[in-house]
Amino acid sequence: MPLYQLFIYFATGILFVTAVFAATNMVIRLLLRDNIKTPGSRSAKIFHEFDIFVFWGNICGLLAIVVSIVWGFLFMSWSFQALLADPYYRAIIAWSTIAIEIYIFLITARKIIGDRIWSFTSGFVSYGILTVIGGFIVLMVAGLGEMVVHGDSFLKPLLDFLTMPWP
Amino acid sequence: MKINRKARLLIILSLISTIFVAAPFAVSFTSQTNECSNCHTSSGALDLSSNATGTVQAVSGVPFVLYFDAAGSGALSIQSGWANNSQFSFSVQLVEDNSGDDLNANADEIEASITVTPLSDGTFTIRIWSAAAGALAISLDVSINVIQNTVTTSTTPPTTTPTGQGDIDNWFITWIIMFSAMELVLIVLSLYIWRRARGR
Repeated sequence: MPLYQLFIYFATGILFVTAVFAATNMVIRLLLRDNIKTPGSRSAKIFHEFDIFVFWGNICGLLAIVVSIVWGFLFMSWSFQALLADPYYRAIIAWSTIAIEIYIFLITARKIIGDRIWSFTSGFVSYGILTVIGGFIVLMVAGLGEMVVHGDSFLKPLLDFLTMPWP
Repeated sequence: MKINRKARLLIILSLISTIFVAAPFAVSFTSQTNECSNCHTSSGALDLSSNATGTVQAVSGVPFVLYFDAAGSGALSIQSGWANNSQFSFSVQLVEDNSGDDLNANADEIEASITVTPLSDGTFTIRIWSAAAGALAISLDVSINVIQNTVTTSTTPPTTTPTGQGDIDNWFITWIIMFSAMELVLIVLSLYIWRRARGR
């Protein structure tokens, strides 16, 4: 059972860092457009290493989410109906599935198009923004989980602002 | 260049291993909310008792105190997910040996008085676990009969109050709509990006 928490912590951590790196890459891409295309330049190196981190971070994070979901259901102490009776668990289930959808899209798009995804506006804007949104959703789900377990969370002001748990 | 790559790889691997080494400590018993029997498999030399005799009578929204004595224990825990604990609020949910809430100064013995506030009326069971190092853990169930408070006109409902089937159905429909809408957006986006990428 402790593996469930381990994978949840791992997924939250790596996907949040991935979101930060994707946001940084978007800024680099917008500010240093020509520089990142210059092979060997420092900004190009940072940009491409961040790009690789975002790609593998998304894969690791998605796998960790899937493993924790499977593990959680395998060793669940109560019925699925009991979970659905709690608004916090309902929100966690709903937003986790949305996050999984987003990460499947991000990984597939990056795998098929390659790092060319950063070379055109619609590609890098949707890739970057969706990575940030994915990280934000995972962080929000972690906050909801903390509310369930501890009754309080440092993300509570954010959850209150968003009127979570919803739906 | 190869040396740099090796050094970088070593740093990354050490950081990743730090996550895995640190993670089990982050889920040690102080933050553990599963029932102790999930990991601890023996009651051994532990003993856990309460001042409650038979079914305790209580009034919704009116706090009362339960007294617990745990011999051989490293920690007492009373979490909302166990038995009907979610129907109550507790002044303290975890008492570690020799912590501020432990009224007994002896090592491996905990005495705690916990203020319990019933959140709704009905007959419920409060479950408390006492655990120690190794495989040791023991639980105690206390039956509580909560009657409605006729003086207090309102009490704050718990956040985990079970909701009706109608709410669950509404949630399910909303979830399906959310899921499908996101699916549609991502498919349209995929097609658009793919067309733009092919053009390059």
